[in-house]
Amino acid sequence: MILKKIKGVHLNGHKAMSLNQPINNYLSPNKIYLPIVNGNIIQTKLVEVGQNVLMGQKVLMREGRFGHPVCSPVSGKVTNIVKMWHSCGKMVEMIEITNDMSERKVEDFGKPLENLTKENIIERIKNAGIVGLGGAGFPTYIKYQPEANAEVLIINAAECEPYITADYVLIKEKTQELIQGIKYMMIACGAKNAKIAIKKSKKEAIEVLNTALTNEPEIELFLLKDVYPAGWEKFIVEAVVKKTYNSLPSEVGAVVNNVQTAIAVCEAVEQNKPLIEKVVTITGDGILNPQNVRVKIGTVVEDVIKTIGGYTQDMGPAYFIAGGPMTGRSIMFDNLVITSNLGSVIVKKKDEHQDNPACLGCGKCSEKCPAHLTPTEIKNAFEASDEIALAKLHAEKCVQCGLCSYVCPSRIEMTEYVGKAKDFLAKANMKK
Amino acid sequence: MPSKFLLGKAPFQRSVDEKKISTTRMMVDVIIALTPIILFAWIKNGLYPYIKEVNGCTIWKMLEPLVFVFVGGLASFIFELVYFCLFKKVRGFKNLLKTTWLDYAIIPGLILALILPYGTPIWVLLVGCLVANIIFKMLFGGFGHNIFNPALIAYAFLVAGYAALLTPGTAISIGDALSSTATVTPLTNYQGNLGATYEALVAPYGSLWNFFIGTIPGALGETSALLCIVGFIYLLIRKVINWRVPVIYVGTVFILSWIIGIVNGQTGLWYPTFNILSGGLMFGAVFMATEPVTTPKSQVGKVIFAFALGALTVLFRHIGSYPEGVATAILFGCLFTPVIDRFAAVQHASPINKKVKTKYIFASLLILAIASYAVVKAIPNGPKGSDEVKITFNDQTLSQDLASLDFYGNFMVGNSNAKVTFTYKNKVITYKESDVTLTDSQKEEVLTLVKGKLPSTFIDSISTMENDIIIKINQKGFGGNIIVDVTINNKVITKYEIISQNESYSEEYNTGYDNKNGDPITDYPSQLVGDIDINSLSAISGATITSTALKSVYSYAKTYIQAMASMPLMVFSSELTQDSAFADIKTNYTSYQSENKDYVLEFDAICLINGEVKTVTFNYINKELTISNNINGLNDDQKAEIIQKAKKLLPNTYISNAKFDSDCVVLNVIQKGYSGNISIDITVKNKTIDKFTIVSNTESFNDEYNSGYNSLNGNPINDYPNELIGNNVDTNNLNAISGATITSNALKDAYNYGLLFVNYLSKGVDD
Repeated sequence: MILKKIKGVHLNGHKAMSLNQPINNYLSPNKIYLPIVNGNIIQTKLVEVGQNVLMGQKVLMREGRFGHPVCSPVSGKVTNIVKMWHSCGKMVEMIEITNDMSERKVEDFGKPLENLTKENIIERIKNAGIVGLGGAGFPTYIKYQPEANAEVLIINAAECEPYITADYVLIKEKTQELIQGIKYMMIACGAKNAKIAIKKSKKEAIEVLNTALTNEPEIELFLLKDVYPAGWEKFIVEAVVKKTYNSLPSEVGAVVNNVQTAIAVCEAVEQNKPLIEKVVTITGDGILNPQNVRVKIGTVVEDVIKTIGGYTQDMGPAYFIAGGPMTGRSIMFDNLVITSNLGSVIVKKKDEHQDNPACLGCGKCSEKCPAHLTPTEIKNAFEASDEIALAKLHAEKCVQCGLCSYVCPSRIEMTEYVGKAKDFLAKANMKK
Repeated sequence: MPSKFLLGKAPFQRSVDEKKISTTRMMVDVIIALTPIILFAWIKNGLYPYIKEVNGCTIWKMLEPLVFVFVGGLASFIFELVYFCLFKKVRGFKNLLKTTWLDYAIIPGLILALILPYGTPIWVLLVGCLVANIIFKMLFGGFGHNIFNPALIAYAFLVAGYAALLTPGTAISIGDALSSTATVTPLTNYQGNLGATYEALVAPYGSLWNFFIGTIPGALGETSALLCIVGFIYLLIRKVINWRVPVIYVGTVFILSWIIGIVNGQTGLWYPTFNILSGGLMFGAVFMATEPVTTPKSQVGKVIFAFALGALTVLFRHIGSYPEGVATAILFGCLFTPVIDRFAAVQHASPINKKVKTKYIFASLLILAIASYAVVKAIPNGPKGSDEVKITFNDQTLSQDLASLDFYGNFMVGNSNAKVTFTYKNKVITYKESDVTLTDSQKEEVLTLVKGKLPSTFIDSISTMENDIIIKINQKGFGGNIIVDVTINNKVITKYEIISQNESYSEEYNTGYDNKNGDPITDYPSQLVGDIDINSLSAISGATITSTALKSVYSYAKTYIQAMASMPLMVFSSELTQDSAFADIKTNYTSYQSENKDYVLEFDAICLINGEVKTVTFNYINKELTISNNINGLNDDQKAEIIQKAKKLLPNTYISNAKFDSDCVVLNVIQKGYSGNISIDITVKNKTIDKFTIVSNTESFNDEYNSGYNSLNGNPINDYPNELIGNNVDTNNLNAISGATITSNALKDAYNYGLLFVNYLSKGVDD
């Protein structure tokens, strides 16, 4: 049905500011912090304060169905358990590891995988603690678990949020690792084809990939429109497979992973390197030298920003945003810890706000909503605490992409209302 | 020490802050889109007439349209400003101005000024602005909370309250300056006249191009479709409105009125084009149906809303009492906005499954039902309209069709031309047929219109006498009607006989009349025969009218003779005659008897075949008519046609055949009864009706079906044969059996026919 197609909106990218410089390495922080409670995931501590740890040593273990280890990015000593700012917007308890700068690694670090079977690769991915690096932080090996083989592997290189350029830069710099990673992932999921879904506008990356893929017939490029949210999993799967699904892409035989995840898989398979590093875009008009930085997971952003030149002089009142500008959170202090699901930090000067008239009912929010919701109706139902109406309006489908607030000509916080409505509905459902 | 930052809500990038869009900018865009329309209204209604120096167009009149719109906007602004000051306690003049501006107060007033008929007094506009901004906007909670479009609801209020002041007519418009057309809006001509022609709807205003440009009468802002489209494109580019509502709305009206046009006999594309270019539809579709506050917000809702508006507009145009349905349709649609919005939001969010599809189908069916109702309402001869359709008699005098002797005339029924045919018989004119379907009341109206409109010369009836055709001509004379029988034999007028007349002229009363000069009534008949030059016959002075009248009769007969050549095959005789039957039976009695054969009946009829008058003789054998004489140039089709026509001319009573016996003759008489022919054998013996036998009949009467019939009273079929014997039955004394009167009378007729034969035999001839 024509009315059911996800269209998306073209946004001002602001990407050029962090594209000029190569990836800067900041791999020797004095201290790193690993959250014991990561979002709503509780992990078991495998080390005690005062214990020495090696690079790659398992320090935390996520339990349960999605269980996987978290490895130490540096060698040194567990010095403390402190509360630090987490990208979820709260301060959470973290293990503090003081770096001894010796880079002593665990024994099998660097040992390539000899027998490239499906099971072995999945085992490596699990042991390396690789989680989705696109932002959701979903354990990667779970996607390869289903016994039924997938038909297509989709590499999400859309990077549709403004400002962020990490994937773009990585594609150009680590092309071979990316392609190798895709090949291992194809073995792991059993797919015959892989598609790299990338926005049409990323011309340089497309060129690089086209050259690299000349001898790889099973890997193809899939060009996406330059719209937001082109990087939403559902959007990509619908675009590539031309089918829609309800909850998981595996319903239509697709596996979706991020560019950085693919590179991490490559490193895990070839070097047995656990997930200890990440490229983060540090940008915004409040940053003096916006750029992509390769950091150890657990690094404090404040240190990184200081290293790359600090804030602009005339910054004034600004937001410090963990994540992209559309879905990220504003954090009050810059001593934020980089976790595996944090892709960017944006320091953005406060805009001059327009006056805020009442909702005029233009309907742009519902027109642009990629989940086919009608935010105005959800807002009305939420204000009336009408659970039944909210359920009918499918408030739970909101992915909080932020488009409704983005397009609103009256600057109404639609996303916030729908988010609250979603929570309200979830709580109401739990009571039942 | 970590730096401190602000806390805010995602997303941190907003199109408002990027100055891509904002509510204020959208409202300013609406005003910008209205500007060309306002300017056009001014040029059309003020500047142009002033430049052309139209009578009474002063400088004030020139500026009036502009002032009108300006006052509308200003009044709205001031009313809201006062409201904010008094009831919302907004303090400080700057603050007040800003609050009022952000409530977008001037827009209702502007739009109201543009949709009111031009010429409305300014104080009515002020009342409208007060109603729009205070009652229907501020009391509902201000901008974003009103449920009706303030300008439209105020318009509806004014129509209800000040209808008399809203009629256009006092204004000078470009229409007056360009041509002398009336200032009636085009749709006024349309209402009730769905089959109206291009000439009636569009031609008075020039062409459809004028509708497109807007040089037609109408409200200030809504006449120019072109500028509405320009505004639409501007608003579309600026992303203020969505294309769906205007395009679907106008499209629905286009398609529905196209169907209505075809149903009403107007198949041209101009018809739906006229419909979408008139009545402010374009203005309504672009500026009012897209007004965001009061119309559905979701895309699906917009689509449903637009379809419904189209259907409702067509519906209101055809059944409403007000010619323009746009305002009513949009106001009515606004009522359903919350329902449509919730419905559309739920459906849009739900995964597409059977249930959702059913709901969509239900919604479309609902709209389709409204649409079909509108179309059905618009079909001719609907319950409405027939009484209001104006009928005029174009010709004022009927003409005669010489072949059928029927009369016809051309009428305007509503806006369509109708040729209506009438039959004239026994001085009574009745409706026969029309090429445009007429209702019963319209037929009656047409009949009253033609009363006394018969032509001055016409043929009343045609009869035959042997091989002659006699045409009875009715001619208007000096003192009344003159009836003349003109006998035609072989295309020549052989006799001119004045049957009746009421002319009077005497030396006393008619100046110039002198008896010695002759008298047309007595002199002319002998002169008006044969082939003469009618102009050479000079009128008798003092009796000119009568003379001319009699000459007209001759000319008309001549015309008739000429027309005969091209007339279709006709039977002149009004009835097939059996004149010589009795004589034949009598004379041939002996020979027939000796040869032991049945007497075969012959009927004669005078016919017009291929323009020639011919006598056709028919034989009646085995209940079938055949042509017995040989007629040149008569093909089989024509034969069949004559027989077909002749069959209808068989008399009510006739002899089918006669059988001869030694002492009697048995006449088989065919008599028309109640439900078919009755075959009766009448035996005549010794000049007396000896036997009356019903051979076959299809008569039926019983207690159930024939009211008044009671089998106890008897049954003519069973009873009469016993009564109708002998020569002395007086059928007048024989009571008809009630409930079977027709059958009774038929049998009596048959007996009398037999008696006629008996009487013929009695005229001194032995059997």
